[in-house]
Order: sequence, then structure tokens, then C-alpha cells
Amino acid sequence: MLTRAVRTSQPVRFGFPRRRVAQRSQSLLGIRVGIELRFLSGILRYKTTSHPEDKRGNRLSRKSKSPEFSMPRRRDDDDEEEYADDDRGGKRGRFIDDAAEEDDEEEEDEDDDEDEDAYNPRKRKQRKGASMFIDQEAIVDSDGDEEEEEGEDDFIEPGTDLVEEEERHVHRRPFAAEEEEQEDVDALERQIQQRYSMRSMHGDFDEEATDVEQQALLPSVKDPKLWMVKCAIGREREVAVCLMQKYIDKGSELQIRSAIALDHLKNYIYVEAEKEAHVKEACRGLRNIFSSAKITIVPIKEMTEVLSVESKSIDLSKDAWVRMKIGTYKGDLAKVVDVDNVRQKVTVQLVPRLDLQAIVNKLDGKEVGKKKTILPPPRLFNADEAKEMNIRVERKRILHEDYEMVGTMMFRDGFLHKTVSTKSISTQNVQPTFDELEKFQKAGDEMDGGANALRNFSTLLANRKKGHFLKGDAVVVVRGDLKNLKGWVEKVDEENVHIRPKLAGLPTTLAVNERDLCKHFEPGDHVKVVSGAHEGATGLVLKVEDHVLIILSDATREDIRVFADDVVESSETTSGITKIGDYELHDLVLLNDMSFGVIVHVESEAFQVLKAVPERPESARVRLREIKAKLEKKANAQDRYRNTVSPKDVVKILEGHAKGKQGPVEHIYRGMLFIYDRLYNQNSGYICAKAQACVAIGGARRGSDRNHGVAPLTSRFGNLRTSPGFAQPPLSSKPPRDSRGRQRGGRFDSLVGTTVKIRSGSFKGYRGRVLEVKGQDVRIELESQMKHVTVNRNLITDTVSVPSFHRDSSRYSMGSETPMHPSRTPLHPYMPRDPGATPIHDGMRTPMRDRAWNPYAPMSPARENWEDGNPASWGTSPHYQPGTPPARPYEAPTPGSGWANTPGGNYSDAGTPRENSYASAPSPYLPSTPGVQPMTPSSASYLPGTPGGQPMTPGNVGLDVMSPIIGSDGEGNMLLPDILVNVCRSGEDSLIGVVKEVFSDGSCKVALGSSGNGDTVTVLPSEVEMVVPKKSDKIKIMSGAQRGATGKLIGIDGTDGIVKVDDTLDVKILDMDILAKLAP
Amino acid sequence: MFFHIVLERNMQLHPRHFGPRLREKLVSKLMKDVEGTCSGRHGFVVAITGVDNIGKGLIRDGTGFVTFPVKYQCVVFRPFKGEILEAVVTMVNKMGFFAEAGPVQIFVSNHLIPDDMEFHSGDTPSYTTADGAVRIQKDSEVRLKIIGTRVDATEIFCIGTIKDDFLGVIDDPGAAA
Amino acid sequence: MIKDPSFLLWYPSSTRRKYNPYRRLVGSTTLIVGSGFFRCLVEPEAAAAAPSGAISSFCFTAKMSGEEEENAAELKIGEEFLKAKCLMNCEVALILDRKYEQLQQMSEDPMNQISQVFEKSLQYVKRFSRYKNPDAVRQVREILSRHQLAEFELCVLGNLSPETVEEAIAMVPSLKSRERFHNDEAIETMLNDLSLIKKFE
Repeated sequence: MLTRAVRTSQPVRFGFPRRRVAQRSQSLLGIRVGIELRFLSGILRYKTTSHPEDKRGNRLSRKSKSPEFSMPRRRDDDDEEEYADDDRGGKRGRFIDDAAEEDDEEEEDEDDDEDEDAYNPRKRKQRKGASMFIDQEAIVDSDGDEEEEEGEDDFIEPGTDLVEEEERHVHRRPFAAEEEEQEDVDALERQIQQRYSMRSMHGDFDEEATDVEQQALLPSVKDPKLWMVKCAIGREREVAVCLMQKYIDKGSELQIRSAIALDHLKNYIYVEAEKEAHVKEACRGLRNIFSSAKITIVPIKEMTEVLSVESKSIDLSKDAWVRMKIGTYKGDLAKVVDVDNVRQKVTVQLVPRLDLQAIVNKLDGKEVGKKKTILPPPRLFNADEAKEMNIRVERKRILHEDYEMVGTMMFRDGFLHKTVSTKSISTQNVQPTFDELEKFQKAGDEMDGGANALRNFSTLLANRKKGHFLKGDAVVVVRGDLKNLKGWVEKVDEENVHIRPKLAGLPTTLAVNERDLCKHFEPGDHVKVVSGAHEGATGLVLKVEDHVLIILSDATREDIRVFADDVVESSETTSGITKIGDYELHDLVLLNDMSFGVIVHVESEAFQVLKAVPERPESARVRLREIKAKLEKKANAQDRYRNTVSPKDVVKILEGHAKGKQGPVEHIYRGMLFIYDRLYNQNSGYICAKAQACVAIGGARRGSDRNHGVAPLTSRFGNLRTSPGFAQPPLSSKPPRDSRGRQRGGRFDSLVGTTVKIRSGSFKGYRGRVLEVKGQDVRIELESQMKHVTVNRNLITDTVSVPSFHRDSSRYSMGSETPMHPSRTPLHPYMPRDPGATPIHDGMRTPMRDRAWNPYAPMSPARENWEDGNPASWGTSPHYQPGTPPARPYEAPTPGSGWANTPGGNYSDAGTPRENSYASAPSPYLPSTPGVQPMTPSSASYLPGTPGGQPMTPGNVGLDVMSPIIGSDGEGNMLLPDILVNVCRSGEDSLIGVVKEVFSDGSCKVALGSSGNGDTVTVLPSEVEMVVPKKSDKIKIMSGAQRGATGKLIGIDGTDGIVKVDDTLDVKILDMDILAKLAP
Repeated sequence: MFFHIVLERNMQLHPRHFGPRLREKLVSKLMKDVEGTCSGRHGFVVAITGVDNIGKGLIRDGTGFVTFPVKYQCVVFRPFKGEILEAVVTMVNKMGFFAEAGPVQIFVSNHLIPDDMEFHSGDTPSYTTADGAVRIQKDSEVRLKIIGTRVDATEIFCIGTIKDDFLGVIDDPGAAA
Repeated sequence: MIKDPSFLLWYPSSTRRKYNPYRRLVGSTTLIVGSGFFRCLVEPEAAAAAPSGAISSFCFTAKMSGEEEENAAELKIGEEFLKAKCLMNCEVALILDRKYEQLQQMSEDPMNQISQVFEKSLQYVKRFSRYKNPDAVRQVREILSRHQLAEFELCVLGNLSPETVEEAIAMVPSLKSRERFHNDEAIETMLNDLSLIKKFE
């Protein structure tokens, strides 16, 4: 059973003071009181709501006040007041049904009452017509026992409370007082006293009616029906009262049982009667009921619903916390100080957001030029301050409270008191944060000292969410006999929580009301904040101050104060806000001034970024808009001894301010390492250092590799010799373009260390490794001739790096590929030449490789890369967008199936353009820069993740790798003029257009219209998409050596297109992705 | 507290390492892989002191890698809630101070420092009693009690208290100087 | 995004503390916490396929409600560690020193070979070793072993060398809880013996 009823009935004399008992108790409770009419004792209590004049009383007693006009026709065995009436000779139509009563008193009452037999239902039924009640019924929560009794005490000593006295008058006003009243009072007093004394002898009132008993009370066919009668809008109450008056006048002639007007139901009242005719009869002549009004019957099943009111709709009480829904104070926390149910108004206490200057202006009659754009911060009102600004502050005394008035605004103790509609506040799920409450409390403390803590707690309880306690929670009992008992939640059953007490000698489980419990934490617990301002933060409990916990946040290592109720125990480690926009704590970001750094702290509106200044720890506060992009690409760098350092490798810093520190590398960018040293207290433990100032060491995976680094400048042949055992690993899954030797040259160039192919000149067709880049010249070590040559940069292509990679894997891959790769054969001679020098060797040493051995991890880095797919960088390279669907690389990531996969031309192409355009970068894996090839990083991080497998696509593009077709150069990722594209700008439909001009940054000028005769627009690469050609379309080859060549698509085979190249009339098989439809 | 325990790990080894020095390879890889790591369960693995047993290798399908179950002895450092230990103060700030006990970092919040000790900023920030007799600053040695631990992937972080009997500074470099 | 996939290995699914998978899904970023949590972690593909941010950094110290909570003061340090051999700082110092020497012989620059954990631990135990002499260390252990102490208790006493009975009990509250020491005298004798060793070291 949900609630117990405190029920009072009112005699015909409406001014009957007895009602106070209930009212008093309700207002004492000060908590949720709902109206719920039930067929408790077989008497259908219908109710009208109180008269408007009642509103003051209403205010005090909250919504509980609805006098009912009902006609008891049948009595219940347990309806004690009623037979008490009878004792007093209530036959005259006076009767009492007053004072708080609990339906579960049944048994005691029976025991106590010897006359019980006299009150069998039937007998009562016969007397039914004689009485008439104004029934007031209210529900209080079942813990209201004490309060009720308090109310009782109050009643016994009447008149002590001024307010109550007042209220009483108010209630009397509408009704004529009669002489008998006093008599009634005395009788009632006695009676109630008697009852309560009985009750106090029986300690336990908690027995509640079972469902079955409740069922039995439901109306049946034998009971009078309920009729719905249409009346004038806004006259519902009046009609009900009229009916009552009529009944008083006419007595039993009127054969209706009761009438009720519901506040929430306009235009209708309900009348209880046996027959429709009786209703009609009763309604006849009433001004507000039209004679033509239709009378409809309420089905029996729905009868109860008519009079059940959902308690939450009126769930507002003094001291409750609410939030404003609209206006200046939108979202602000407010405290209810007064509720006017009738007018649906609530007076709330707010921390004012005043713009005194604006008020001054207004008072001075100055026009306020602009609309207020800035929300003034909440601050307590200070009358002196206002006076200084010449704002007139009046003092006013309203209802024994002093207010300061500015204009129409009322202030008290610095708070703004504002009367608003109940609709403009939200009462559900108000979760005051600690800070907010503190604001309220500050002023409160001055007023009434320390008593606030508990009050806060109790109001918090009221705001608690459902399902607050979960199994396993440590809790402490905060009220009642078991106060301070600690235990763990075993089971939650509605309002009762079964706890397993910590103390020995107690039952294994105890059921405790939810409201008597509070979560309990011990210092040292690891917790997570689940609501409030710090939601999401985790930390260790440092100190417990009653219901407030001081937590050391994991992320910031600062103290935060939260309510125990807002916290759950958790092992998870997160930080409060870790993200603004796309940027998250510990992300590597590129700033607008092209500097970069790691986000080491996230504030509410800005980041602290540790900048890439190796000399000293330099961090800057950076706002969201100052960040250009997130750098997500995995890059490698080389340490002092030329070991490849990849993210997650542990390095030690050998020089600089952080000398001696060590930790895993979190980010690498442009030769800068961001190292996380958990023992370093600044900048979230991040340290920035030059890669060359560090040495990779092996917490986990390094160590012996260092041998290779002993002679830093040993040629790779030297390396080859030092590790002959590694010369020909049968399975090679290492980065195809390893960065080994990349920095050998005088300057850093992403090209350095890559294997390239010379496109023309006397060394045409040769391949070699780039040793050095000097301006436009590139010094290359030829693979076949052990010779260094210098060639113009424009004459090389580095796509050959893939063939070299191929070569390594070719042992496995040849079989299937040979037929398709006639051109492959010549490459083989290179094979034995530098196996040791190839990335294989490095592959062994890279940490990635280590991970590759790890059966659990191998896929992760790769997948991660793909899954996360960096949309930004995809977008920046429109050319590859179509050319490299992310799905492709997945097609064969199966370990061991490498032979099936040919490294795609895409991959090799991918590297090239970027390396040219970012020649100054030490690493080719520049993320998020325009023109950066999204594919590239994949080859770095993806490859090593796949043990023994060739991670490359089984791409036909691979064919091209071998053939002279490939060999794209710097513009590789650009669009080309004359191709058809779809321009998809956000918010617009995609439009077809023809590329007219391509700019160096990748953006292009597009003439709209399929033939290019529309407007010309300039679009970003991310906004265009090549139109996929169909069979017989004229096409342009977008990548490879024949980039720019036109041709005709003569057939499509899966993802391959068969192309007849215009110039040479050759027929080529090319990936559809690199074909673009040419404008007609 | 340091423990000497026996742990087991499945090591994967590439076949190229097979040969007379297989065991040596495995052990060096084991050290590389394990030493310096940290888990919530066993704490920090400080050093491997011996290899008890290397089980039979199992060739993994598809990769050719061989998995060896290796049982090894190692010294681990594992902090416990409620444990009392000595530590060196590494940093003092107004929030409290950080101390280190071996690989573990312990934070002692100002809430858990006796109330009679106050924070003094300056060149060497410190917590000092009113009479100046007791002083906690960088490099002080303190005896503290761990009241909470947080384990993440790579470390164990503790919070401690010195607000109890027989806890606090054991050696005061300031006083000695 | 899993920051370091390899650490997944460090958490075998049969961890000592049981993890209640249904605990705390409220407002949590670990969306995958659930019955499939461990499964998901040990299957790298699934873990990798997890949405970015779903698994960030986390740990598995989820404790069971109540008594199973760790508390060294009550010797609740888990079966595994209760049975394990505990080492006093001075013993660790000997072990690590020896290992360091070995490394030194193998490589010129051992500092680059050793992990930070090793380095920190070595520094720590050297600083906080009450007894330097290997013989003294042996004697300390011998004396303490006479008193039916748990390994953990033994080492705490050995590390902290309390001077008074009161201090000893404050350092090792579990001394009192079990009835090994009928009176404080036994403890006192033990402490005296220890201080003698220190004196004559």
C-alpha cells in the first residue's frame, strides 16, 4: 500500500474547526501530500475543492485541502469516527468524520470497540441518508506518524499558533458558524484523544491493507453510479456547492449521494447517484447546469480513477528545490517559499541576477539601448550597494517578514523572492549541486546557524532519484533506532531497502526505508560522481564530512566536494570534463599559429596546452577556436641512437630540463615527443622533448635493440652485418616505408629514407633510397649499383617503396600475383641486395612489431586507425576519397593470408605527394594537414598490426605499382581540371559541376552544371566528390603515372575499370576509384 | 610492500630465435616485456629474479609464432590499503604533498595532514607546525598510511594519511641542516 | 580508443576480485562495461571495434561490497599475497643490488637497461633499509620468524622498526587481533632483539 490517509470530514457547518488537525499535520509534514480519494471504507468520498477564499489556508496546508461533500451511506467496521458520531447521536444529520485517521487502525479499533457488532455494514447502510459530510482527505506519507501526533497535540492546545488561528478564520468565513460547533469540538477532542491514546499503546501502525483488502473496497455494481454532468466552465465548484446546499435544504429528497468538482477537469462535475433521473432531478434549476446538459455514466472501472489524483502533479512544497524554466533565471536553482495552488503560483527564492546599472538606467528613464545580451551573474542582493547607485530601496513588511523592495522586486536576505507560475518551474529531477546549495546556505547560515546541513540533507532526500540505491552500495542509516548502522544494500524493493548490516549479531538483512538511508563512503574509496556539476569525475575519497565528500579527482588531482548521494563507488578512472568540441584531454592538437601541443587540462571553456617547446615546459591557455585541428596520425621518430620510436614506446630523456625523466611516448609530431611521466606533477605528467634528446628504453619492449644504435651512422650495410640472423625473415609485416635512415640527411625530409624510383634521365628506371634532399636535388643510393646519384626531385617517384616492400613479401605473394605482374620480375634482382637494410629489420625492432606478436593486440592499432577514420583528413584529400574506400584494407587483414594481398598503388601513391609537399617534416605521417594522405598513416600503423599478413588490399591498383603507369608526383591528391564532380556543401543538395581549376591547397574552382556552364564556385576538397564514370564514359585517370591522361572506360569488372587510354590506345585495368568522369 | 612471487606468462616467440640460445632469448624477452610493468593485481614488477620453468611451446596456427608458458619469480611492489610505509616527499603544494615509495606515488591531501601543520609557500613549500619543530618539505621522509589505491593501466596511485599515531615525518632534512 | 592494447593482457579474466558487470552503468563512459566487458577486452577485435572513448582508461579494482575490501591493517591483502613471500626493504635492496651488478657486467650503461620501476625501487629500498649488512638482515628475519607472524606483519615490523610496543601495535594492528601475543612483553622482547641487531650491525 502506498500511503495512508489522513482523513477528516466536515460537518455541514463548514467552519468546523476540526479540520485543523489534518491541515496542521499536513503542513507540519511539509512534504509531498497528495490528494487521493479512495473507496477506503466503502464510502465514496467525493470532493469539491475548497473555495477560492480558502486560499490562504490552502497555502499553509498545501494541496491537501479539498473539502468533500459526501454522503456516507454505508459505514465501515473500522470507521471509528462515524460510530463515535453515532454515540453522540449523529442521527440528526450531524456526524463527524474528522481528525486524522489511519485506515490501518482497523484491528485496534476492533479490539477496543465493544459495540462493534452494532456497526455492521448493513445497519449502517440503512442510516446512510441521514448524514452528510464534507470530507477532507489527504494522503501523507507513511512516515508521518509523529507528525500526525504532533498535529494532535496542537489540537489539544488550540490557539497557540497564530497562523493557524488565522487559517481557521479563513476557513470559517464562507460558512456560517453554529452554536453546536463548540460542542462538537469538545466531543471530538475527547474522541480523538481517546483514539490516539489507544494508538500510542499499540506501537506498530505499519500494518497496511493488503491488495485484496483494497480490492474489496472498490465500487461494485451494487454501489451508486457516478455520473458526469456538463456545467459552465469555471463554475464547477459553484455547482458542487450548490448541489450541497440543495441537499441541505431538501435533505433526503435529493437522491444523489455526492457531488464533486475536480480542479483539473473543466466543464464537468461528477455526481454520485443510483439513477440518472436522480441526477437530473438534483441538477434541475441550477443556473450553471444547462437543462440540455448531457449526463453520462462513468464506467465502474473508471470510477476510482476519477478520484485518484496523481500526486506528482502537485508535488510542490515549501523548501523544495526547483529550477526555473524560463526567463533570466532559466536553469537556476530556486527554493520554494510559498505555494499557491489555487492560482497555480509559486513564490521562490532565487539568487538574484541583477544588473544594477541597468536598473539605474531604467529608473533614470534612460532608454536601454541594446537588448541585454549578457546574463548578469548570480549574486546576492546588497541593499547598501544598491543605495550607493541611487537605487531606491524600500523596506516593507509583509506577513511578518521584512523585505527590501526595488521597484517590484522583493528581496530578503539578499535573495530575490519571485512569484511565478507553477508552470515555469521544473520540479522533477532537480539535483542541486553542492556549489548551488552552498550559495543558498551561506545566507542561510547567517540566519539560523548550523541547522542547515540537516535541512539540506532532507531536501536532498526529496530530490533523490528513483533507484538511487543499488545492490552492493555501502549505506548508513541516518534516522531512527538504527541510526549510524552501516551496511550494504542487498536488495531494493520499492521504498524499502534491504541492507546487510555490518554489525555482527543483527539479522542478516534488515529492511530500511529508503529515506532513512544515506550512501556511505570511507576515505580511500574510489568513486565516480554520477550527478551534479562534477558529473563524470572520478577520484579517491579523501575525507567524509557528513554527507559531503571531498574527493581527489583523478584527472586534475584537485579536491572536489560532492554529496555522498551523487556518488557511486566505481573502479573506473575518468576525469570530469575531458572534452570540448572535438578535442579531448591528452589530444595532440595543432593550433592556429601552427604550433602544436598536448592538451593537458580541460577547463570549462579553454584548454591548457603543453606546447612543443623542448627547452622548457611551456603551457598556454588556449580557447577552442584557437585550435586548428587534432593531430591523430601515428608517427615515428628516431631517438639519439636512431632507434625508431613509436607512440607507446618508453623513452628516457637524456638532456634538457626534464633530463632523466622517462615514460611512454604518447604523441610524436615533427620530431617532438610528448612523453607521459606519471611521476611528473606538472602538465598532467606530460613532458615535451626532442626525439633526439631521448633514448628508447625498455620498460616493455625495447632494450636489446639498442645494439643497432651503437654506431649511429653505420650504414645499413653495417646493420646488415650485425644481424645476419634477421636477414630474411620469412614473414614480414613491418612498415613498408620504414623511417630507418630517414634522418640521415642533413635536414629532415620526409622523403629521406624512402625508396624511390627515378623516372627519367640517365638513371631512369632505377630504384634507390633517398639519402639526402638538397633543395630540388635528391641524393639517391641506387639499389642495384651501390652508387650514389643525385637527381632532380621532380624526376623521382617514391612509389617504388612499395615494390621494395613487395619484394620482401614476395616469397609468399609471388604465386598468385605473377600472372598479373609481368613487370615484377625485373625487380627481383634487388631482392638479395639489401634485405637487412629493408624495413624488415626495423620491423623486428619496432614496438609495433612487438605488438604483432601479441595475439591479443595485433589488430587493435590498425583497426583503431580505420575505425576512427579521421574524417577531416579524408576530406582534405578529395582525390583519394573515392580512391581509397576505408573498407578495402579490411578485405584481407587475415594473418597469414598476405600472399593474396598486393600492396596497393594507393598506398604508395599516398605517401608521395605528401612527402613532397611537406618536405621539411621529419616524418611522413603528418596528420590533418591539407593534402595529407589519409592512407599513409595506415601503412605505418596498420601494417605492423597484422602479424604475418600483408595488410594491403588485394588491390588491382597493385598492378600499377609495377608497371610504369604509376609514379605520381606531388599533385597526386589533387583533383584535375575538366572532370565532373558532385559538389556537396553542407546544407545544400549536391550539385554537379566541372572542375575548372585546382589550387595548390586542394580547393578548386568548379563550374556548376554538367557541362560547366553554370556559376563558378570555389569549393573545398572535402566538398567535392568525383563522379563515378559508367561504361563508355570518357574518363580521366586521377592517379598513377598516367595521372591526367584521358581515356574511355570500356568495361567495368568489380572495382576495376578497363580503360582505353586515348594517347597510347593501350588498354589498362585500373581501379575505378582513380577514374573520374570527364566533362563532356 | 615488496613480495617475491611466482608468476606465469605465455611468451610468444618468433621461430627465428630458435636455437641453442632459445632459453636465453625467452628470458631476455620476458624481462623486457615484464619488468617495469604494473597491474592492479600484482603491483609493479620490479625485477625478475629467476625462471622456474618453461613449458612446452605451442605453435600458433597461421603465424608460426610459438607460445611458451613461462613461470618466473619476481620481486613485485604492491601497495595495500591500510599499509603503513615510509616514503620520500617529492612535491609539496597547497593541496597536500606527493611522496614516493619505490615506484608508487602517494598523495597526502591537506585534509589528511594533521590540522596543526600549515602550508607555507615559498622557495621550498612546506607543511610546518606552528612552532616550526616539524616540517614536511621536498625530500623529507615520512611514515604514512595508505588509505586508498587507484589502479590504472600503467600505475598504481595511492592516497595516504599522516593524521594518525606514529605517522608523520621521520627525518627532517631542514632540521638536520 | 584503446590507448595501449597490450595492457589488456595484464588483466586475466579470472582476477582475484570478482567484477560485478552490472555495477554502475549510470552515466558511465565505459559503455561496454557489462557482461561482455572482459570478453570484449580479451578479444582484441571487439575491443578495437569499440567506439572511440568507450574504453579509455580504466581499471578493475571494483571491489565486492563489504568485507572483502582490502585492508592491510586487518591483514586483508588477498590470499595470494598472504601466502606469498614478503620481502623487507633491506632484503629487496640486496636482491636489486645484485641484479644491478649483473646488468652492469653485461652492459656499460645499465641505467638504460633498467626500468624506471627498478630504479625507483632500488633508490627507495636503499634509503629505507634499516639493516645494510646481509647477516643482520638474516638475523632480523630469524628473530621475527619466531613469533608466528604473518609474512606481511613480519616485513612491516622489519621495515619500520618500531621502538615501543605501542608503536608496534599501531604499525601492525593485526598483532593484537590474534592471540599470538599474550602480553606486551613478548612484543617488547622482540623489539629489543631487533634493536640489538641494529646496534651491533
